[in-house]
Amino acid sequence: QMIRSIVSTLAPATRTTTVARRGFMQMFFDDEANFNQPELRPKKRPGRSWTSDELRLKSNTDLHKLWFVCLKERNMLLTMKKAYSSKARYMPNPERIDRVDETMEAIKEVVDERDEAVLRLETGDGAKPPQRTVTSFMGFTYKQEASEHLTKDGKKEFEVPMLDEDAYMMQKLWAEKEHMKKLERHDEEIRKEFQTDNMRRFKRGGPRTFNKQIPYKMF
Amino acid sequence: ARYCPRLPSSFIDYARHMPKKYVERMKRTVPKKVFGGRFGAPDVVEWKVHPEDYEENGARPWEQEKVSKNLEKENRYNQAVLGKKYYGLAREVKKKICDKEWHLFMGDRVQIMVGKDKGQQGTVIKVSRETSEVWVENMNCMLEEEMSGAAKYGIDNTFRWKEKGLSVLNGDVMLVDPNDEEPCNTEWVLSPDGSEYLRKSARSGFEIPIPSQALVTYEYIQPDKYMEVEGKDTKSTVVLTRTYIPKMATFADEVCEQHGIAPQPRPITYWY
Repeated sequence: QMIRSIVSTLAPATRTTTVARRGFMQMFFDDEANFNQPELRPKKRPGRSWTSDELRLKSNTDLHKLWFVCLKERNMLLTMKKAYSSKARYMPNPERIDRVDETMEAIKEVVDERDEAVLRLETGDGAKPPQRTVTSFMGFTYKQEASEHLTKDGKKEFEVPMLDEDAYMMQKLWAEKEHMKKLERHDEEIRKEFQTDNMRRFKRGGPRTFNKQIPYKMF
Repeated sequence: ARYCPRLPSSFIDYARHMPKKYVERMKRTVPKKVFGGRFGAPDVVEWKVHPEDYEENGARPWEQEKVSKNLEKENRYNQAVLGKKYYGLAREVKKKICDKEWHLFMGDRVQIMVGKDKGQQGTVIKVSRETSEVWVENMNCMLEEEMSGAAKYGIDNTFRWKEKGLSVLNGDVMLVDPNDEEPCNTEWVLSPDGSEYLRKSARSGFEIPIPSQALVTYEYIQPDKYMEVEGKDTKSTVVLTRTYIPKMATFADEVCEQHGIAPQPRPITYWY
């Protein structure tokens, strides 16, 4: 298996360098052998991202370390991308950035899962903030995540059972517009069904006579 | 232990380890701009290429022919949006066969059932799941010119035989039973120990193994022979060792404890 690295779970975080060309900034640059290549050689191509199942095997400390390894790799890749685009060139294997992002998203997913489980057992509520239904001034009702406040008496939005005149009118017009869109989409589908190959090729109208046996789905 | 086997047709693909976001970006079916904060109204999304407008053909989204087509499409769509003109989305003709009924892989021996190569057998060199098509080596070929419109530039055009796709939906190809070397229908059957799915020929019950060519990906030719990159890849033995011991502590608290950071007193907060 080939997966993005935990460089070492037990060894120290710093890596010894034989060539200290840029010193501290070396960590922001890729291997010199990879510069200006149209595609990386197989020996230099990092592997696939970590899957969430593989990450669930690891302890929280390991995940914490892996996050920072991924972060450093991401910083290096983004620096290289910027460098290449400033020279009007293509970066070799740009999917490396997406792979690192995938790994980091998976780590967050696993960490959120574990926190959710622990807090649900301890407090009864999970790790995610509660969702509240809220009505905007335009009359739309939607779910919003609650935010954290230090005082009890901050401004709070509510769901409103009765709308004022403007909001009521807005909602009526919105619903009408959505209904018309739906009708138009349906008409478009019917029109496409009755189109023949010749009509598409020559962009002319269809046959002038209609077969009355065809059921009229429009009505 | 209980096995949860997956159908091979659901995960076997040349690009199975390619990140999904990268594929979407290559297809250009990504939002150009999202107008949010609309007080509960749904977000207005401006697309580069509308997801319903994407046309599948056999090529991968990052191959040259597909990239240029997608860019053209992106241009046309955005010009229509800017000019407030009517733009008809591509006709959606669903051709994808579900995993349960798909049984063809790279390197399979198949027999052609239609066309001038009818009755001949060949190996599969390319598979397109989205269009349910299969390309067979040196079969169902058409003479194609190297460069279209070369006569305009006064260059002598070279022609070559290029394979055309064969539709699996229409039954243009059939898998060959190794027993009697005749075309057969196959089914996915769970193995006796329940650990994996096997494709069995309906006629003889013979198991047709999946060719090793099918497991080739961009990263490796054989999964066992993958070359691990020093400093970037973690060894599989390290990955699969379990280090997780569940504790009644949140992630932050546990990591702080490990590093010897004292827990900070948290003020009482209200959520609303």
